[in-house]
Amino acid sequence: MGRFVNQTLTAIMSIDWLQIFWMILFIVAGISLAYLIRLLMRRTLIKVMEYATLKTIERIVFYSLSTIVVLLAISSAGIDISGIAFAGGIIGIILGFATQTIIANFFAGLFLYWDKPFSIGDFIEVDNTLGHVIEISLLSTRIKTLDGVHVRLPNEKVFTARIVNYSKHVARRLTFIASISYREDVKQACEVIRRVVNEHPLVLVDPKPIVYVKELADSGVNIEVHVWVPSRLWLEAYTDILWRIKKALSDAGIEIPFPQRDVWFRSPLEIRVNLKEFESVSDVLRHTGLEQEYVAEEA
Amino acid sequence: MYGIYDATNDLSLEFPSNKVIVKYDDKSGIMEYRRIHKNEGKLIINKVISGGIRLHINPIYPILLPICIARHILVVLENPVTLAPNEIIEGYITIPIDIASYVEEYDGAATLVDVFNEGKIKYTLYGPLEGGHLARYYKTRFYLHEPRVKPFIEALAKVAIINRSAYWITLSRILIDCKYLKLYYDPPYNAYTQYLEIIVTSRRYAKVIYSSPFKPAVIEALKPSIFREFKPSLKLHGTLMKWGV
Repeated sequence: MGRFVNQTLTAIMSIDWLQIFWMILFIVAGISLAYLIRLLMRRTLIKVMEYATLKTIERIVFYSLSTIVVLLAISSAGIDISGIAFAGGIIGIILGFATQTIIANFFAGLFLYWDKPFSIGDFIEVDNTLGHVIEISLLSTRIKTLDGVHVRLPNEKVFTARIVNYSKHVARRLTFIASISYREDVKQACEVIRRVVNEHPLVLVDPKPIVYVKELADSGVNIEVHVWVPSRLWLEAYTDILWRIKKALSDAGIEIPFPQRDVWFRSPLEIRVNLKEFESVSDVLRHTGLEQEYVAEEA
Repeated sequence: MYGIYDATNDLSLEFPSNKVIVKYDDKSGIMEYRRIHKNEGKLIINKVISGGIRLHINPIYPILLPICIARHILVVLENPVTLAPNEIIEGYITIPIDIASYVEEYDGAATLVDVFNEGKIKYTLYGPLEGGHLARYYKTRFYLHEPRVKPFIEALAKVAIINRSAYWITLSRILIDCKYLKLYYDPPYNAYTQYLEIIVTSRRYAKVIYSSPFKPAVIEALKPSIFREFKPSLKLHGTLMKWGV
């Protein structure tokens, strides 16, 4: 028992307490410096970077610097860190294989940051997902779709996908097709539509709206309308303009046709009727709607 | 009808197509603010306000309706002005305005309660799709003498067009930034802006400089908080027209 106490005391006495003090001081100072760098980064980069991206970058910088400080402190205290470095290397290789996808997403996130195909709040379409961007982090992009669904897309997928940004430009073009019956006055219909778009506050004066006959279609005359509206309000503009065009055409008494098809028979139709179900020929004619035609022919 | 009204009394203010009615309840100190569209006979806005003692009816930048999507006004001249090199011409233009109702508290703090329009609202794009400006669109004339403005629809601006280029130039539009523009009024219905200098430096570029009011004894219109957040830069206040004049 006495021998064990002696050994412990000798071991404690042999420790260079001053060196340990300096090591702890170095670690505290180093980590404080890393924390200051983190704060400085936040203050300077917040103006040019999304907060979510900045948060990830500042965390990486802080933990990397802290690790380096601790390793340097241990090394300066005369402790051999080659074992730690070796173990760290092996762990690094294992982690590298295990986190391939995460690393790919991380670099895709960095490239997205430099490329800036969209920003928070933009209305975009990526990988068949249409909605507003609500968050861009280093690993993923989050989108809120028009029906209120929250979608998380890995950055690797976003970076390689076709991105359509509907908010990049201040204005965007909307196209409507209004079909009118062949018997209606096309000029009058075009004037009615022009009046609607010219009076609408969200339809821009320049670029000018265009109203023209696009097609003589099967069921009616198709009038195409191109208008430019503020990108931010495209949905409000779309629904309102379409409704106003329909109302204006209806108010002007212009018929919007239903799809219809006239069928002509090359030879006269032969109708076979089971007379058992009817009392007389006139019953048959009444049932088929041919009574008046028959009476006229007889006369 | 621009002015400051005692909101502790019942009020009824008639505009060409709108009517503002304020009912004050002495017991509760609560004010009921209502606006009716006269032509349609429709109640547009109905608000219950507590704590307000004064109602301000002021002209306001025409960029808040239907919602705030622009910061600029593009005034297109029906009679473009052509100037020889180093020539200066002074005249007047009218710019569109909307009407704002503010309620003021005892401590003088005012809040915007309503914005309405007596004219037609149209917007346009000045410049390219990428980087261009959405702007409230208004067509007017360049007047050599002070014209009569349309009450509650227009404000009068005195302008000087200065051709500093070495060429003949034709100015057909003026871009005005609401960040620098100030509105003034002279009750009951006259509205004004500052004196504007349009310095044309080439056939394509111009700068609009915002100076002091050109009418004496006019009252500066209140600004809603979103405009108070517009911080003019320390540099010379001006709007660069870089996509054509």
